[in-house]
Amino acid sequence: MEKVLTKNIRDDREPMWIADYEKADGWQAYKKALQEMKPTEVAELVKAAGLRGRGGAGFPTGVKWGFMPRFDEQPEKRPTHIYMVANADEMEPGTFKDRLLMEGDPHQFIEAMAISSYAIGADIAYVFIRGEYTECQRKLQRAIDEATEAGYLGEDIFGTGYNLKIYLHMSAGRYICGEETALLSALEGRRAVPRHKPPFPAASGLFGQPTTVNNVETLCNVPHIINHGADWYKTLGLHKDGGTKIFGASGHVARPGLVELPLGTKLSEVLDYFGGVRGGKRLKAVLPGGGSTPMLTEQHLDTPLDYEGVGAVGSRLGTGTLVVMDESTSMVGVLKNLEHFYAQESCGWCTPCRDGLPWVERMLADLEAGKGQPGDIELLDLHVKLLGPGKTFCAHAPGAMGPLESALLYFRDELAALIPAEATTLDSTQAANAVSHH
Amino acid sequence: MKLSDTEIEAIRHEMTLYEDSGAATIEALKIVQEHRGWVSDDALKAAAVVVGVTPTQMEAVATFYNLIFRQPVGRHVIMICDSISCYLTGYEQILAYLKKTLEIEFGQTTLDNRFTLLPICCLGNCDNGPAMRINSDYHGRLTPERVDAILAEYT
Repeated sequence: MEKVLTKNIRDDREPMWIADYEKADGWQAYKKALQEMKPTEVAELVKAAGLRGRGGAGFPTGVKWGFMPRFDEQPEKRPTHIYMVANADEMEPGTFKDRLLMEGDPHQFIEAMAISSYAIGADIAYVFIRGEYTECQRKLQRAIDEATEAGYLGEDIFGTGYNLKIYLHMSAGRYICGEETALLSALEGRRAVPRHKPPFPAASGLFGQPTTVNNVETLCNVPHIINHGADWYKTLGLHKDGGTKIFGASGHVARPGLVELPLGTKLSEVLDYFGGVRGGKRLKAVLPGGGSTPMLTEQHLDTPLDYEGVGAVGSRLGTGTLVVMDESTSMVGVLKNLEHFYAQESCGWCTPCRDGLPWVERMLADLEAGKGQPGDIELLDLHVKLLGPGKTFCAHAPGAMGPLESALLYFRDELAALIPAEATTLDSTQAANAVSHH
Repeated sequence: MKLSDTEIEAIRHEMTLYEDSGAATIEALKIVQEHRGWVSDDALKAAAVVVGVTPTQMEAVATFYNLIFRQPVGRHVIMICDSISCYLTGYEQILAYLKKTLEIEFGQTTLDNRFTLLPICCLGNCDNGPAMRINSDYHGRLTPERVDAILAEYT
């Protein structure tokens, strides 16, 4: 298969610096965009290519860019700044793909940011990087410095009148920063509490200015769409969704790692690429795209891994990095681990999330310790509903409920069997006590 | 208490990178921490003065982000990944070994001030689980033997 995003990336992740990157046709897409295309044409092309967000939500990128206000007709109304923000806060459990793109080909990412900034009319771009990714920081800063030196960033670029600066912001932890409005709060130097939508960031984002936030992998597709066109891009995917995807696998696989494959490659084929389940064991479950995607099981091995395919079987493509569990895995252990993460990472702003997630975690811990109570499974069902979409301020708690809901569907008997047999029925008073016990 | 000229200069530079210079709170805290190992009450207040926010605003930020240390830490900070991929590949065994070897629990520092042990969310090193980070170095595919060898590198 044709490698697109990873064609320049070596196994040791030693990147191409600017001279080699330019020899490999790097920065050509940026020149083409600035010199031959209007910003709106770039956005239209990306929309026509059908590029969808690779950070988890899968929102069409060109459509998102289309929400940005345009000031071509009324330049006097242009705000002080328009911002492009790259979400490089890769903290979804089991996800390690953006790190590869930033460490392995920093110029591709910086070029992608520059083109995307042009497309939305941004004059300042920030890369919001998780604090632990110091290697990404080092390499991206060098790429930015080289690009500035070469005249790709700065004032009046190529004499077109376009200005762009790119800055790195090293974050200081907390998963919630990956939520795009919480990310903007963090970038403004405040607690990373999500904001109400609307207004969406395109209307009022960073410092109240028009802003677009895109994931690293999403952005890295853009130069290739400019170079080769929307039709070419669509042919890269096997089904309706165009493009390739960085898939990954971790957990109980024989050869954990990352690979770029066409969107729509079957789950079984992606698993095979990583050597299948470790030690010849049977597959129990897979989180298809990070910790907040509902689990898939053996019955889903033929599922095409694209937005439509995974969506059709009740889960989400998410980040496309598989977390694989073999038959020996304790489902309650997995759930406790995941819900501990979400409970800890709740920003605490809204009550269902702040109080509901620790409750779920404690119930799972009790189940694992053999201290489950009759009614616990139904109480978990209730939490799935009460912490689900539309009940909380942002998507954090609904995301946390994804794996739990699927486990209650596929592994209900295993979870129910953890409740000690001697405590099989409770009257209403006992049930109320059981609830307060949690 | 005053911050050093180096710290103040570094913070002032970060303040120029934002439309609102008060946005540089996180950078300021990180700069202070880089120079002092952690952020004391006095250093936090001094950093707030430089950035132009109130100490309360600075404290709100400092207590939200887990990579800002509001207590002294050892010379080396071990952050062991406790997320799902590392859980599946043996995190609990490595954690138990670290606690036993260092004779500390999470959040504690060894008596010789050499190591502090902290949990950390998914490090993005999932294909090398179980994984940990010491200072800014990544270590993966941990076994008790490898942990011994790695710890010996940090004196």
